Amino acid sequence: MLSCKEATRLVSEGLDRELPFWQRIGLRLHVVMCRGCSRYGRQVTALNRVIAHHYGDGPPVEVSEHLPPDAVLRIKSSLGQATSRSDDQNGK
Amino acid sequence: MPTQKGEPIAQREDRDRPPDLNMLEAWVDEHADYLFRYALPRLRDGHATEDVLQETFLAALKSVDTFRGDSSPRTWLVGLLRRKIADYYRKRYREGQGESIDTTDPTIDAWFDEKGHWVAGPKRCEMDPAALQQKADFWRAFESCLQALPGRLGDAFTLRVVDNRNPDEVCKVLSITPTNLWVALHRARARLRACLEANWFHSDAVEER
Repeated sequence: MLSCKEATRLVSEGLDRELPFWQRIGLRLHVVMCRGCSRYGRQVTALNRVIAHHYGDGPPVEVSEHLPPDAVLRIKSSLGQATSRSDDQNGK
Repeated sequence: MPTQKGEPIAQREDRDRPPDLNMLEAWVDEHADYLFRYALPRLRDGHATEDVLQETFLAALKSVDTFRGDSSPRTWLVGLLRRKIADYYRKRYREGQGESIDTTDPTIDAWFDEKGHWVAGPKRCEMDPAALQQKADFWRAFESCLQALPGRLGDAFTLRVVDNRNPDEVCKVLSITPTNLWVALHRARARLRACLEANWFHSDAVEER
């Protein structure tokens, strides 16, 4: 019989790879009988799903951060420098 | 006879500006905020995000010839950005940095008795994905809980779940073995759940038994 400590570890591992058959059976049996682990499993699985979904389709709409203006300038000037450098190399 | 040297320098420079540079600058104006918001939760550091964005646009300038317009510029830029995000972590965990991850975690061990059974057990909390999506307080709590994770646990969770990369790739990027990754993700998930239980479960999320 699995301990709860072991079961919580397997719940997580099962989210990342398919568990070997007997481990999967053992985990299911444990979770059916254990309220703590059943709750734990549902919560961790739901968290995993909602987080992956929230960030998966690009930035969440309600996020309103902007790239700071000085960073925009820095990026543009680095693009300008990179262009003039490659022009030099091409002998222009 | 007067020479043509009198042509104003500014005008000449303007005419000589490569069209690629003009396009790239327009893309910075149009897409940089979007890319910043995309990258920030994946890097969790404002300065690192700015640097990675700069790398991304430089890479875009270099390979703009390969942009064929089958996809939108934004989709193409996100592809480049994802590669640069992986590079950022790869550099950070280059050889020698990828030592194994502790399998024991005193914080987690304390939740179980000597036989490995729950001492208190998780509190009840309904987590309906559709409802959570809308809850700003949940996302604030999540982000501060994620920030509180020790470096490599947080990075493993971010790459695997927030950034949705497959486990093989995460192992390569962090230079750890799959066994280490399972341990890191388990510890990260367990601590995140407990942190949310302590800081967020209070509100309307908890229903009485």
